[in-house]
This record gives sequence, C-alpha cells and structure tokens, in this order.
Amino acid sequence: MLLEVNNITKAFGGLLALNHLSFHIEEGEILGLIGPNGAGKTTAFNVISGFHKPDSGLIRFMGKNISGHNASEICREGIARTFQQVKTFPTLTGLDNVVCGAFCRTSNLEEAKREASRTIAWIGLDKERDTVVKELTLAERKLVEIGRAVATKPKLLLLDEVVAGLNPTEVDRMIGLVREINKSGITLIVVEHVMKVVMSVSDRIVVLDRGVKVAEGTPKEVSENKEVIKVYLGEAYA
Amino acid sequence: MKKMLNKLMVSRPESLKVWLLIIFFGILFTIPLWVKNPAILTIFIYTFLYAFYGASWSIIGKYGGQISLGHAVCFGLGAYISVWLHQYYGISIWLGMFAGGVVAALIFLLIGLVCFRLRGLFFILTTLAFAEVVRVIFNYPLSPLTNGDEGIALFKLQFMEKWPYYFIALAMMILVMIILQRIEKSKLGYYLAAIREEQEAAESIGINSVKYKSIALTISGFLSALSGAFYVHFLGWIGVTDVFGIMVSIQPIIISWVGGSGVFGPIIGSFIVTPVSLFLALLLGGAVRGLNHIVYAVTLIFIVMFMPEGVTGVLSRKVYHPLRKRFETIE
Amino acid sequence: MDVNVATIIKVVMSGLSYSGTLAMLSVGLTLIMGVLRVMNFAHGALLMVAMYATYWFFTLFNIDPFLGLLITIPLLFGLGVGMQKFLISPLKTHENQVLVTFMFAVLLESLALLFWSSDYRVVETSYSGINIHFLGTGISLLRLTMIVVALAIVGGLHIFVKQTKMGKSIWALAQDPEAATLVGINIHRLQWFTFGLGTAIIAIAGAFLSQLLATFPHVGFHFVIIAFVVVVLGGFGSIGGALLASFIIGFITVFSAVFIGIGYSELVVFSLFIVILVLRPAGLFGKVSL
Repeated sequence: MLLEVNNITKAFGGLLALNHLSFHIEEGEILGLIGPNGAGKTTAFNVISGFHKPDSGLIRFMGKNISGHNASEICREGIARTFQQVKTFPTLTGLDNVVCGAFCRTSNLEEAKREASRTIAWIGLDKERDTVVKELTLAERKLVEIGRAVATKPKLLLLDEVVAGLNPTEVDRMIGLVREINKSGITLIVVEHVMKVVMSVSDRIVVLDRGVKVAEGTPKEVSENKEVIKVYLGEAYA
Repeated sequence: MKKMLNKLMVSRPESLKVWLLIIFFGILFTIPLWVKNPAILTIFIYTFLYAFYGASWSIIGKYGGQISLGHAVCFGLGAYISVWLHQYYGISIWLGMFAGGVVAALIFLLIGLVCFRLRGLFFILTTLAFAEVVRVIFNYPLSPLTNGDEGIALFKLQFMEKWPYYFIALAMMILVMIILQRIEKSKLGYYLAAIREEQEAAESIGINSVKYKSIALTISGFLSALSGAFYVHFLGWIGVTDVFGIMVSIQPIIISWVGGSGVFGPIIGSFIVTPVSLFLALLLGGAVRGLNHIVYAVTLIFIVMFMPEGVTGVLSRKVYHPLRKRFETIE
Repeated sequence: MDVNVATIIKVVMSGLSYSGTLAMLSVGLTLIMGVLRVMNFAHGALLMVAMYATYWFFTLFNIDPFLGLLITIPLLFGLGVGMQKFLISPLKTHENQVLVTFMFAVLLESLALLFWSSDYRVVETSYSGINIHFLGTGISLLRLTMIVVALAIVGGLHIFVKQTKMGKSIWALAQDPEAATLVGINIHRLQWFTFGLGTAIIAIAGAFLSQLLATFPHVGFHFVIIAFVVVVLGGFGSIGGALLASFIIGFITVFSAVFIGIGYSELVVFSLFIVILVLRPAGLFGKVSL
C-alpha cells in the first residue's frame, strides 16, 4: 500500500467535511476520487497533502505516518499536488515555474534548469517555456502546474479537477498526459467531475458523499452501484 | 551615424545594458580625481551608502515580499556595536562592523522564525514595535553608554580625507549589487519569487516559506548593520535617534520603492532620492522643520498608490521591452 | 520607594486611566482590523490631530474641549472615511495599505511639526485640576470621568454591534466576509463607516488627553504601537477582548514603569507581545484566521 487514509475526520466549525474516511491506494494505480459537490474531495486532498491537519485518524505514506506534517515536508516526502484554481507563479516563465519544482531535489541552478527543461519537453510545453505564465491559456497553465509538480519527483501525484475548463482536444491531450505520467512510475489520485474522464483513466474509483466513502471498485462496478446512482441522481433512479 | 549606432546595438539590448554599466561605473571610479569639493563627494558617499542600505532592505522588503518597518534596529546595532568595540576595546572597525552584522542578523532571524508562520501584517507590526523598543532602551536605561541624543563624538576618525570613504562606499554598493544578482539566480531567489507570488503553491512544491523568508531576513539584517557602522564612522558622531529613529527605517523603504525591484532599483532610487533629500536638508535645514519628512511621506504614498513598480518598473515597461521587441523583429 | 496608600492609589489610578485610553483607541482599531483586515497605523496620528484641534479651538476660540467634540467628532469621522476611500480601498494588498497608513501618519506628524513646532501644549480648563479626596489623597476628576466614559464607549459599541441592524452587519462582516456578501450586505458602505466610527472615538479620547497629557507632534506614535499590541492580545475584531487586553497591558505598563524603571515598560510589553505571537496569535478572543 502506497498511501493509507485511515479513519480521517476533519471539521470546519460546525461543518463535518470528512467523516471517518478510509481508503487506500496501491503503488502504480490511478485512483479516481469522485462525488457530488461538497462531498469532501478537495478537503481529502488538502489533508493528504498537509494543508489541513486532520482532527483524528491517521495517514500513512510508504509505511510512514505523515498526518500532521506540513505541506512542504509532505512534498519532500514524495506527495505532490495541483490546485483546483490553477496556482502557477504568474510573472515567472513556464520554465522558471518548473525550475522551482525541480529545486525540491537539488540546490544547483544548472541541474534544476536541466531537469525542468526535460520535464517541459516531456509535457509538450517547449514552445511556451519562455513565456510569462500569466500570458498563457488555461490549458497551458494547467500543464505548467502539472510539470512543476512532476519536477519534484513525487511518488504520488494528486490532480484536482485537471480537465475543468478545457475543450475536448485539450481534455484528450490531458488524459494522454495522465497516462504517460502513470507509466513513468507515478501513482495518481484524480479528482474529477467529468465522468467520461474518470471512468476512462482510473484503475479504481472511490466515491465520496458528505465526507464518507459510499462505494469503491472498478469503474464498471461503481457505475452500476445503486448507492452511487442514488448519491448523484437521487432515490428515483437507483 | 544612425546605421553605425544600430549596428552597435543590434547585438540585443542586453549588451547595451552592459555597456551602460561599464560607462557608469567607469565615471564613478574616476570622480574623485577631478572632483575635489568635499561637499559633492559627501553627496556621492551618502548616495552609495543609501543605495547599499536600500538594497539590503529590498532583500526582505522586495524579494522577500515582507515589508519591514524596523530596519533601524540593524542600522543602529551595527553602528553602536562597531563604535563600542572600537572605542572601548580597540577592535578594528572592520571586525566591529562584522560583529554588529552578526548580532543584527541573529536578532532578525529570531523575529523571522516567530513571525513568518503568521500573516504578513504581524511581521510589519513586530518590526515597528521592536524598533521603538530598542530606541527607547538605548535612550533611557542605556544612556550612560550611549549618551542618548547628545551622542558620542568619535575622536578617532579613520580617514581625514573623503576619498577613502568614497571608494569604500562605492565598493559596498557594487558588492551589494553582486549579492542581489547572485541571490536572484539562486535557489533562494527562485524560492522567494515563488513564495511572493503564490505562497500555498510554493509550499506544495516543497518550499518551506518560513525557512527561506528567514534566510532572506537574516542576510538583509546583516548587510543593513554594515551600513549603520559605515554611517557613524563617516559622520564622526553617533546619537540614539540618529541611528534608531523612525526615519532610519523609512529611508531604505523609500529608496527601494522609488527605484523599483531588481538589482538596479535601489541604485536608481538612491541616486534620485538621496541628493534631493540632502539638498532639502541643507537648503532648508533648521528653518523649515520636518519638510524633509513631508516630502518623503508624500512621495512614498504617491509611489505606492500610483507607481508601485518604481522607476525600474516603468523603464522596463516603457523602454526596455519595446526596445527588445524591436530588436527581435529586426533579427 | 515608599509604598503607602497614597502611592498605591496613584499607581492604580494611573493604570486605570492608561487602560481607559488604550481601550478607547484599541476598540476602534480592533473593529477596523476585523472588518477591513487593515492595520491603521495612522490611528495614533489621528489622536494627535484630535488633540491639536481641541487645543486650538480652546486656545483661539475658548471652546471647551467637550463642546469642541461637536466639531472634532465629525472631523475625525471624515478623516477616517476619507482615508478609507482614497488611500486604502484603491490598494490591492493589505501590506501596501498598511504602508500607506503608516506614511500618512508620518505626513500628519511632520505637518504638525512644521506648523506648530515640537513645543508641548496643554489645555487647562477650569475643571482640569479638580481632585476628589479619597482615602487621604486626591484623585483627578477628569481621569475618573475618562475611565467611566471609556467603559461607556465600549459598552455602547457592544450594544451597537449586537442590537442594531448596521452593527450586526459590521459584526457579521468581521466574522466572515464571504458569507456577509452572500447575505447581501453592502461591504463598501460598511467598510468606510466602520473606519469612520473607529476614528471618531479617537476624538473623544482627544478631548480628555489634551487636558491630561501634553500635545506634541509625536504624541500618537507610542500610543498606536501599544494599541496594536492590545488588539493582538484581545483578538482581531473582538470588542470585549480589546477591553480586557487594555487593562492587562495598561496595568503591566504602569507597574513596570513604577517598579522596574522608565524605558523598561516598553520592553516588558513587547516581550509579552512576542510570547502571544508564539503561543496564541489569535489572541484571547480572536476568531480571524491566521
């Protein structure tokens, strides 16, 4: 087991975002994390990546307890993530954004630049590498953000709604990239609303509703699961 | 003639920049040879010194994105420690400067570690409060050692002429420019930029923002202390409010903001601000109290509200980038 | 130092009146902080303005300081609203806003220095010196009144935010700006009103302090820093917190000055401030997130 989320609870004031949530992911998998709005998907990401501390429960990564570690520590331990609202560094170039990521594993500028160049080429952003990021399109910025995360050489990458706002061509390109990343040895958890994408890309899917896991299984199993249908479409369709 | 100039400049505006720098510093190096007027040399010396101080502040204030209102602490500590070590223990001024720098750096490191976990406003408040506390301590409880605002005259001036001070200050200014350049092209520089632009995203790629901001603050504090030490040994007198007062904290801020970010910002800022403020102080002096401060306040408010990128920002937008685009199309 | 009943009463009165002053300053400041997330470093300079205004109305036109409030309260309110509208809201980051309020304070103090020099000015009305005799020593009536008024202001403000429509909106805004917009609260109007309200209270403090202290250009500088320590200790946006913290800091300051020495009280308060930052930056009752 690469990552084990064990009985995690997280509340914000009166709102219970995660309610004794447990799931795990094996090395090499692509795990899809889905659920209606407010189900707790982004909160789960925030807890795993160290942006929020769980109120109770524990998170084990590669056998080591990482609950309560802060975000930058967790990145250095091997978990990287992207954000729902793309958070690239606006006045830096595409390359420099990725260089910042590469610096996670080296302190030498030349080496960081080399790593970043490789990553940028691999992602397919060569043309945009010297453009200041705020002048790039949404799709290009998402790619930069992913490249930056990949440059930190993570074992586990959390992608938060990575196809939101993209046109069909861009979506296909993104799906291809996700598969490439996985093939290169990085395990992925993908939060998505677009069903077609999740179903086609995930090995396994975990379904959340109101902070609780309601179903788990292969895409086929999950799509036929009565609970899942109820959660998304209501009782009548189950 | 135009064709010749074009040919010279066709190798990109980058080399134009280098040429301008060479000419600029070439001139500066030779000034003491043909300018003998001590007043003018003094203006240059203060300009170089405040460029150095402004650049030191900008390491945390611009690169680090954290405004410090308390750099007077570093300036003053650098001043007093180097004076005390020299006057009472005979320790060389250079060593004394270094010692002052270390003390200031350590203190500011602690402040950084405490404050950088919190929102930026806490840091601003802490630096302001700390500067005031230190000023009061040096003024009252420590007054036997400092003689308060009456100060201590340094009867052992290092150099009788101006020109040694001129070259030391010029060297300091060049040194700090090199330091800024090195920071910019280093992990620290990239990391500070990341933290400034999107702190959350920076954390997500392994950047410990408390650590790197504290490093920037420490370097800034060390260098600022050096400027305080130089200041008093040049002036020949040290008084509490003169080195710990609020204007000492504001000086590097206005220089950095007027000049803009980057390596050249504080230099340009000082070349604009320092001579003007010296003239104002000289011309009006005792006759018009506080006018200097009024000009500072109005200028800084104006810059923050209407020209926050400073002179380098405006030049970059209006001159450098259009020039660059033009040359790109020519090639 | 002789510790007898008279000195104890003197020290207690000092502590109470200093706390009262801090309360009047910090309660407005904490609201501004809670609602706008801006540290108004001009708060102290505005106190100076109020004190000078009171002094000049009294000296030139013989207007009693408290009668003068009819002018100084709107004046300070207007200055506050003006600051918020023209200096603060055009700026995009909180740090820049703070820098501008700070430089505005420097501007005000330098102008005062320019026009009125650094001479100390005191307002002496017919009642400034009246003492009440208590346990063998005299207690200044003015100080006593100020303490009562300070408490009344805090109490009044509390009622305002809990009972009136506008007050409740301000309170909601301080607790959760996003939710407040959703409920249809007009943020901009509330922002400048809160600012003005906070600065108007300064006018009242000015009416008292122009008689109890000397007026000079930098009189506000010390106050604004301590007021912020109070606001941090009490918690941003908490009126009750500001009141409690005023008394804590007020008495600590007076005791350190008396028992350790002048010049050390700042150090003691600052050390306490650092301890708060390390242990509990949200303060006693703060809810604003870090």
